[in-house]
Amino acid sequence: MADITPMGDALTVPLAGRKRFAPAQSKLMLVGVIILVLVILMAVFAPLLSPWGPEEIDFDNILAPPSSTHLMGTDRNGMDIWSRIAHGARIDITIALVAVSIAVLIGGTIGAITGFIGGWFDEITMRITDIFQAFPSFVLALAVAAVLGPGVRNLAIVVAIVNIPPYIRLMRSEVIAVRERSFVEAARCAGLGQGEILFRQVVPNCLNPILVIAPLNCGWAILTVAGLSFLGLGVPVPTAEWGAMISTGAGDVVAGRWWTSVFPGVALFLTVLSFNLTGEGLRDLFARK
Amino acid sequence: MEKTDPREHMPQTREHTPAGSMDAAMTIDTGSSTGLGGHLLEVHNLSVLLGRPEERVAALSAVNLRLAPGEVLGVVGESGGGKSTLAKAVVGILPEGSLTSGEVLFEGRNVLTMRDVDLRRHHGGSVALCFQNPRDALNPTRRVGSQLSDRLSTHRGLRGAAAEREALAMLESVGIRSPKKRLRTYPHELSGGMCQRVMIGLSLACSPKMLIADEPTTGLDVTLTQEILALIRAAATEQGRAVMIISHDLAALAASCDRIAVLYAGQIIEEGEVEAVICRSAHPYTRALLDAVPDVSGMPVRAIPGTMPTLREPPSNCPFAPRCTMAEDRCRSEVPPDTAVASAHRAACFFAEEIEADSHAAARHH
Amino acid sequence: MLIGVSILVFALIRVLPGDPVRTVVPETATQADIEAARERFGLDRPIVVQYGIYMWGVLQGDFGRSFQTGGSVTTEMLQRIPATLELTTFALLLALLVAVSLGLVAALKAGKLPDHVSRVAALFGTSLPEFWLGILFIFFFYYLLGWAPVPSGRLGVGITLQQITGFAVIDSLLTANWAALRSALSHLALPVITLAIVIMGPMMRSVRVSALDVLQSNAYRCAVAHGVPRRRLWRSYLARPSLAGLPTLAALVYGYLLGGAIMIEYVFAWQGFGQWALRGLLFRDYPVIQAFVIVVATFYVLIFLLADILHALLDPRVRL
Repeated sequence: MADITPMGDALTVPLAGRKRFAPAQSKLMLVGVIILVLVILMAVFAPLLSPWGPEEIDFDNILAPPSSTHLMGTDRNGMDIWSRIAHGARIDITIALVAVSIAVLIGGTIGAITGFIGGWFDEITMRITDIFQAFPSFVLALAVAAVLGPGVRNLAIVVAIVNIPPYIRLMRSEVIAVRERSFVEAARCAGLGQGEILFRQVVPNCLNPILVIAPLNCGWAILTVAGLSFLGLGVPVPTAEWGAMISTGAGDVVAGRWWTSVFPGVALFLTVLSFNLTGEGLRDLFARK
Repeated sequence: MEKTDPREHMPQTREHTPAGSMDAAMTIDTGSSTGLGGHLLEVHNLSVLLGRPEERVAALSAVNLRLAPGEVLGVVGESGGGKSTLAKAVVGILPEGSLTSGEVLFEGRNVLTMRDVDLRRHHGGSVALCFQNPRDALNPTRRVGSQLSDRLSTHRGLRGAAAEREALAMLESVGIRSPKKRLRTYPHELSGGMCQRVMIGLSLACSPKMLIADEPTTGLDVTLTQEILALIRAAATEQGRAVMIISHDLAALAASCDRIAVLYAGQIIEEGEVEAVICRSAHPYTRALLDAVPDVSGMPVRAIPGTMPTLREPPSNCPFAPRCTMAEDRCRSEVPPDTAVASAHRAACFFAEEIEADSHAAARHH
Repeated sequence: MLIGVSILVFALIRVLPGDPVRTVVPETATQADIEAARERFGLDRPIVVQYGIYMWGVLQGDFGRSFQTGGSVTTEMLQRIPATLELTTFALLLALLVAVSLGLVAALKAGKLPDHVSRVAALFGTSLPEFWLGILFIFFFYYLLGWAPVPSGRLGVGITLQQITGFAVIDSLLTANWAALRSALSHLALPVITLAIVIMGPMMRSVRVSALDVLQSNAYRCAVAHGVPRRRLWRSYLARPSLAGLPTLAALVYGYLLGGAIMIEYVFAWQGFGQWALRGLLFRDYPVIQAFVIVVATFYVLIFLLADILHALLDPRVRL
């Protein structure tokens, strides 16, 4: 059989282009999940993995380059960078997971209710959401962080608050789409109460996009936490946190002592990347189904 | 006297009856034959398999066709019968990953094996396709006039004021009122009928040697249908182009074509002059089709029981057998040969001659 | 809605812990001094009155006086906004350029190497912290390679530039000051590239998805079947329809840019709007904070308006 070979690149009509790189996609997602698991393990076992305490000062080795005693060198305060990275993982990841979970729960619930009920409650909710979304999210986070002040708990609140509006919107539009479907009608006829219909019947069908967005959101949350700490609005000063570490080391990097900021940045990058890869992978998974 | 194509890897699906019924050009295939007798298009034993390797569909099986300039050929068949695939094969825009065997010779050159450079020139310049569902096939972000100029500049080398003048003339020639205004409109502002006219205009602006109209009258009312068909027919009679009209509407084709080919499950089961095929049909499927159309044969409407099969590979028996009232064991185990019932009228059925005689008799009673 | 924003910010920042007056008066101030300062800033009036006075001023273009510097907030803003705008706009333009090109190429070669590479690159881009990337770039291009200028400010030491619009590039062009132009561009290079890399991802993905849809559409196939040549095909039949959804996305991205700009300004000592607002935030300089919030919100609204207009221009089916 003569195969029709592609008739020129621009003239070829791609045959369902998406399906072709399915294998590559799942490989990437696998990489993402593996890295994520490794990072989480590092966070969980941080004390075991760190030869030094996260805020322990080695007076003899200030701003020392990587060596056998200090795998990734020390910063200008004499603290071991590797240990701080391992402990920093705990803060960043915990905040991200907790904050996003809260945002999903609160935002999702509000969104579901307002999408289901509609009416003036919906109007007001959306107006308020609009006001919050009239700002770029990081700017909003900045403002809220300034109000609350530094601290790990406050950071979690900041990230949660800033992320609630998108989930309200997301859940609301999904619920609106689903509530017209026939099985909802059927449930109503069967005499089920509003609340039960909403949370047992409707919501479970609206979860897909949220499951895709949530990991991506975690990635963004970590970047925000790091960013706020970088600017001095996040964790209190000596705490080991990746963004804060980058900030501490910034001045030193310009003078040539790269390890102070580079390593925490790599950790940050890899963690966020793993969340993004996972989220992307989930998106493709759901898209294919 | 059978001639087999040495390049063919498929089992032969047709037996060619002795010469005299069919032109030698159709049975002899040597790769790069020039059209004998002035035929612009010659399709030899074309088979096309579409789809991914796991789910292939035999869209066309051993199709043979010829078309000369100035001729109007109608291709009729049900949805899924392979009509659009035929058009795409002739134009050279089959989807990537399709498998083909056989040839599509345009002016002697095989479209299926053309190089990119030649293929690009072939697109539009040699064959222009009027897409089904024209509103969908017009660029929504580009004005009608610009889309016309694109074709005019590519195939006729016209630019600027000259192009605009010609574009105006084209719009007028396809029957669009207030063409000046229409030059600047966007496709979404046009009605269905106007979209169809614009599509024809775009195709003609390519100055093609051959025009293919894919379902040009779907969704149009009766008057519009007549006008559009007249336009298309004029491309052949007045402009001397070869024209192929694809449709499921047998009545429309009967009114506007010189010859008709009937496609069923990817095969041409009957082909001949319009009058012959309609009034002296030689294939049970054609008969059944006619019976299902009230106006053409004037008999009560009788739907055909069953559905057309989707073949996974070229068949080794008659594809219509399951639904045919005359089917015998032979039909289910062998491929019916292309039988000539008159000069330039053939049908793929073991009983072609009897059916033709019967149709002839029936027709005389009306 | 902007009213809502202004009310919200007015109220919220007064909830901020920390007394702005205390950041201004010297350590030795007595209670009387503090009261006097409070009166000077108008902070002793009831909140609603404060709000009224403030908004009245805003409508006339007066955003009050900074608690810290005593200078007119409006003036200080006008000095700094162009710096940030220059940075963010260049970054957006660069990112758009790259995103559109890569997105189209990725769609044309869907499933093959360039496609995979660009998708991975986009993913990497969105995972990078911009402040870290900025520092990295400084390290490589300034410290190691010496290509980039000292990462401090918008112009090199000793370069003088007449301020007309406040945009370094425009002003230097207007005054034909080539030294300033070179300096401005070289200082812009690193921060702009840093920002562009980080925001490019989602836009590239959007272009790619739209382009894939277009490539499989009947409209595109028709143009191919009619032999429209490749250049014209790609420009008018592929690019144009694919870009319709981009303006709205770009507006969202611009919002993200504003946040990222604050950090980049910090890293590169940029003297921009973000830096200024940050200081205001830290020192509870109410007028500064209020002005910042109102301006950003207004700007964001305008950007979306612009995006809608662009969208309507690109896609004639959309009615404004």
